[in-house]
Amino acid sequence: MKTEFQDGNQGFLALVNENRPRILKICRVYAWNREDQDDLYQEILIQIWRSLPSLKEAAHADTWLYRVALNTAISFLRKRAARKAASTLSFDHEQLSRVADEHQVASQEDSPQLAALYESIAKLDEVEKALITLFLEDLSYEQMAEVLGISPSHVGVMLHRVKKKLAMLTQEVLP
Amino acid sequence: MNDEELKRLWRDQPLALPPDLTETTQLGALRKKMKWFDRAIRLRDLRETAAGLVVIAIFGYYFFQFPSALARLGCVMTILAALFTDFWALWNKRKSRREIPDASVMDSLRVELRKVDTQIRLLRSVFWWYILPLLGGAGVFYFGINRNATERTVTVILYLLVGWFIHWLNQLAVRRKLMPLKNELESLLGIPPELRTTVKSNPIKRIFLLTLLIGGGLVLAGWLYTRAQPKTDADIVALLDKCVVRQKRAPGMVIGIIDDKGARVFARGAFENGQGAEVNGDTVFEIGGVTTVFTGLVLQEMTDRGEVKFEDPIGKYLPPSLKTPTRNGREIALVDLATQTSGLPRLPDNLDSRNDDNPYADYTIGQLYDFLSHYQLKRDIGAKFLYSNLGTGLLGHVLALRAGTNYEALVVRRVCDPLQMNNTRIALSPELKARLAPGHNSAGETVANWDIPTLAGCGGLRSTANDLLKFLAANIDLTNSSLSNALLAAQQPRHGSGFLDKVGLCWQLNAGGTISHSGITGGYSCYVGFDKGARRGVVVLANSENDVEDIGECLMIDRLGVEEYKPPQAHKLAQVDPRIYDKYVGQYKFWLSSVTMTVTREGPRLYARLTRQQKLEFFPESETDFFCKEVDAQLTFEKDSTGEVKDVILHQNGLDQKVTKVKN
Repeated sequence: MKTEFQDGNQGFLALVNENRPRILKICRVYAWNREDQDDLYQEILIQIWRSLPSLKEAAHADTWLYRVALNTAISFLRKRAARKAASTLSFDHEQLSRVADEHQVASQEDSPQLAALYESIAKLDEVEKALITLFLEDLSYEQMAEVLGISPSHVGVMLHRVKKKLAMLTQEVLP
Repeated sequence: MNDEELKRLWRDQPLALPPDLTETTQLGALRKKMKWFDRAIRLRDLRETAAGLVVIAIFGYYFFQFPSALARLGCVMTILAALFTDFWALWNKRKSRREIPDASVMDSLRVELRKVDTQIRLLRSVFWWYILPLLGGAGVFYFGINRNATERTVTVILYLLVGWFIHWLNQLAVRRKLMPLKNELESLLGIPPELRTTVKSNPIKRIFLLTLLIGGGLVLAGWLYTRAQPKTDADIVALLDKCVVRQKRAPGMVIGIIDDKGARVFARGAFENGQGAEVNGDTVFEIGGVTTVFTGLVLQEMTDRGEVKFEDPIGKYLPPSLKTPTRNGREIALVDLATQTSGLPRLPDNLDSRNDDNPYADYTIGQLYDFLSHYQLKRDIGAKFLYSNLGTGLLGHVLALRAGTNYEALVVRRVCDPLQMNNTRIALSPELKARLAPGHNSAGETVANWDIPTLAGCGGLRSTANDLLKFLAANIDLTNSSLSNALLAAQQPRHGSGFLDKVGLCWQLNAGGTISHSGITGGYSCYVGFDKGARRGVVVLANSENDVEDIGECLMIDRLGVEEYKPPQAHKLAQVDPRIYDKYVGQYKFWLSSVTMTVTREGPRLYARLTRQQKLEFFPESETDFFCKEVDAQLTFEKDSTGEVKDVILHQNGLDQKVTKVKN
């Protein structure tokens, strides 16, 4: 029992430490300010920890982490939206301006190009965000299809459309 | 930028990486957070079920507080409904909480969509699984504890409004919150708008459901109504057994029934508890307030003969020197006394109710006249039903004056003789006296008979079950030619006495179509009632002051059962210095209610009055405990450490309500 538990801990730590950049990038795509990003990061770690037992049985271990992280991120966004809706029932100006501030997606260290990329991604819908993230992460069509739950050919069609949309958005954003 | 440049930009972006996770620090923090998260979910579930738990606690308490079978059924229904709704909501939530964290993105979205659909379904059907069971149970409970038609109607309307409001709130949540979410998820899943399942409200379906509901309610009520059968003779024997042997309501009880099968008398018990002669159809009892229907009948009979008129002012027959109460230029007429709308109080205030054993015995005609000449009417004559022993007593006195005889002789000649009721008298011959069952108070002690010389018309008669059955037979069949017109006329409605109840000449005309009156004296309780439609009459006589009205009603109305009954506790008068009452005088306020209780002292007497009710005298049992004789209510005053009176507990209907003092 004890060794198994230890193994679980060690496996989890290794997995998380190794994938920190990937998780963090997903957080930046789906959460727009530092505070939310930290919350989402924590939440993804919790989901990974909870889902560890399924990793051993998962047929496609290489995309497992993306599935867990993206599912968490997508529902996180919705939960946060619900919470925000509840807290902005009284439309005072302070609340509204704060919500607007949070849309400053890029951080100050970002190059103009990167900032423009994030700004554009922020305008996509949640599935499109997932697709473009996977594309930028250099996954194959088959892997993307696995993560999204659609056919590889559909991935091609969708990706073409999303890239076009992204290019257009980037044009708008870039000075 | 081409794909490769984009990917490079992505790969090489500067990241403020969080530190490496180490086992001791971050992992511990993570575990803590998870535990907190789980607890938050459990707390949320608990919070959402808390309302149900509160409902269960309240109705569990009520279950033991209200012994009526219908009230208990209502409690059980409400508790089951609360359990069911809590379970149903939790189960649905648990079911939808099952997630597969490593499913594909599309599958997760589908799961989420299903969750939203479940939620929408739950909220849209909230009437069926939440509002109907809970309000239904509470409604049955309410009908069980209170049978006043006005309050029932108000409650039903209130329940409908509350139910509609809860329903409306839920539909608002569906429209405002859940439908946009559902649309968003469906668009993410790429479901084209024409394929999306729309949740539209269908007015035809709604009207159909509403019709079904109301129709179902009516059918159920009708079924309950028609299913009810008159009590059989065996039922009546069992009922007597229950009331006399098990509930110990009275040492002896006699029930008389008259219907198309003829007249039957059922008796149980004896003159004294378990000893003495057994009671039967010829046993004599005081009939108290039932006397008034004889007084009313005499008024009708004398009117038919042209001896008096309904509208004659009482002053016409009283000594000319006597000034009688007037209001707005109107004098009290004879009929106002018979319909209890004269505006006179329940009792004259110069009646010394300290003489508890025989309160009317010392009241003289002089005192009555003295009261009348000084009394200021507080209500308009003919406006409002207000039961007054003084009024019917006065009517008997006035009619006797007109006939030039005394009240008893008048009733005997005009009513008892024509109906051959030879055992209905006030003064008892030795032979009748031998058959008189001794009266008992609620503590089971033998008490004196009541003598009511001046106000005899309000409660002086004594009678037997066999005699009263003759009276009922005459009232139902109207066969006696000399009295039938008067009997019929006395049963006609003359004034409202409640929401749907009316009053004839002293008769109570109940909303259900039955006609009845009951009476209680210091040692006896009596009920007479008849239903001309069902052709049935019922007499209940008991030699205890414990009420028998519910027994009579249950025999009259097939739907009713006999309430569980606990005889009220006996209260012993204590000698207390009335000066301590001054501490109790003041205004008291009920919690969450606009009703106030005003406590006043008038000389050696303590009175309490609830908003819009008559003031009632309370008698000391100890320095802090007081009881009322007219209704089964007690007061216990509570003092703080400095001896100041802070509040008073009202003990009534099995409940103890704290009433807080707000003003001296």
